[in-house]
Amino acid sequence: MARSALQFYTYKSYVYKKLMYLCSIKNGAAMKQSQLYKGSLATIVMKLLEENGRMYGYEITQKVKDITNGELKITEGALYPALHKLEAEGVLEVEVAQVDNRVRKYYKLTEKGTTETVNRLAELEDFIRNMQTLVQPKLEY
Amino acid sequence: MKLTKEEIQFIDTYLIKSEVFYVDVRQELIDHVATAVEASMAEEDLDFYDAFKEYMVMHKKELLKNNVIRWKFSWEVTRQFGLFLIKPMQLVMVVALFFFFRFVDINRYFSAGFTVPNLFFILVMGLAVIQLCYFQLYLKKRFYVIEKTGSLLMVLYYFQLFFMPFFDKSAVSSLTVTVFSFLYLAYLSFFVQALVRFNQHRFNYI
Repeated sequence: MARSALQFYTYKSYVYKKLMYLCSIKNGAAMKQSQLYKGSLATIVMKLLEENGRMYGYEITQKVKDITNGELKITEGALYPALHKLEAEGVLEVEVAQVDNRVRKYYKLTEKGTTETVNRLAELEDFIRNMQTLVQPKLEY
Repeated sequence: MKLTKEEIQFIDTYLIKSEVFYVDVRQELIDHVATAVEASMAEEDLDFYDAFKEYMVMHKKELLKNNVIRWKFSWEVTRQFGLFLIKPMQLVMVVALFFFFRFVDINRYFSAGFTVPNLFFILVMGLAVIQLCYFQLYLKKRFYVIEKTGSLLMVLYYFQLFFMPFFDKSAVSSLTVTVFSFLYLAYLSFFVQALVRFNQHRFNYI
């Protein structure tokens, strides 16, 4: 009886380990993919805030996921440091509100942030165009 | 489905156990976790504990990247302080200080028993003690948004220690005094600015 219980727990921890391993692979893959997006994260966030007014952290991750059909996932570990950095730069400002038994921090663009968004978007568009000309195979006959 | 007060408290306790000590960092993470858990409870028809467990298995590592466990040196804060130093107001101050120390000889107020480096040591340590008292005795809760400026004071302290041998014991050059008093005063105004910004939101956290 005791032995079978032990076996059960060993099996359970084995399954758990496998599960954690799978998760780590998945996370690793997501991270590799995000390396390319890393430089544009702030611009993506600013663009979303420009369109939607004020947003909170989870809302931003969901919005990005929805727009890209789940292909681009912004992780918690990347989003909040980016938001805090933008806040310190005076690009974003914070509103705190009490929502369903907890405190929620909303971010929105400041005046400086709105002009900055225009600049950064133009920069990003240039980048995309350059990348396209670099990567695209030349169609010459 | 909205989470109850007890369930929010459960997430809070979980994060404290995971060493998220700063109240402001924790508040933001609680909201994130709670919203995610509510969403998966609604979509996958799970109860709170299953949804919470599922979320944590997948996201704990990423979530805790936002945590700051120890008081550490941060490039981000140093960069912000650097940007603060080159604001016009600060540049006016540095010029004013330079001319003040050029025309007023402060060396005659000091003696071998009490030198200029001694005064700076006392000023820096005094400010550190005041900060500590404010954090520990007045606020009684830890907020990363203001405690992070403390790492700059540490840098200032080491800077001062490092340059101590260059201070001439009998006569300190006006340039050295200008640099140190400027850095000290700039830090003071940087800290006060952080405090003012913090106080605008503080009562929402407590």
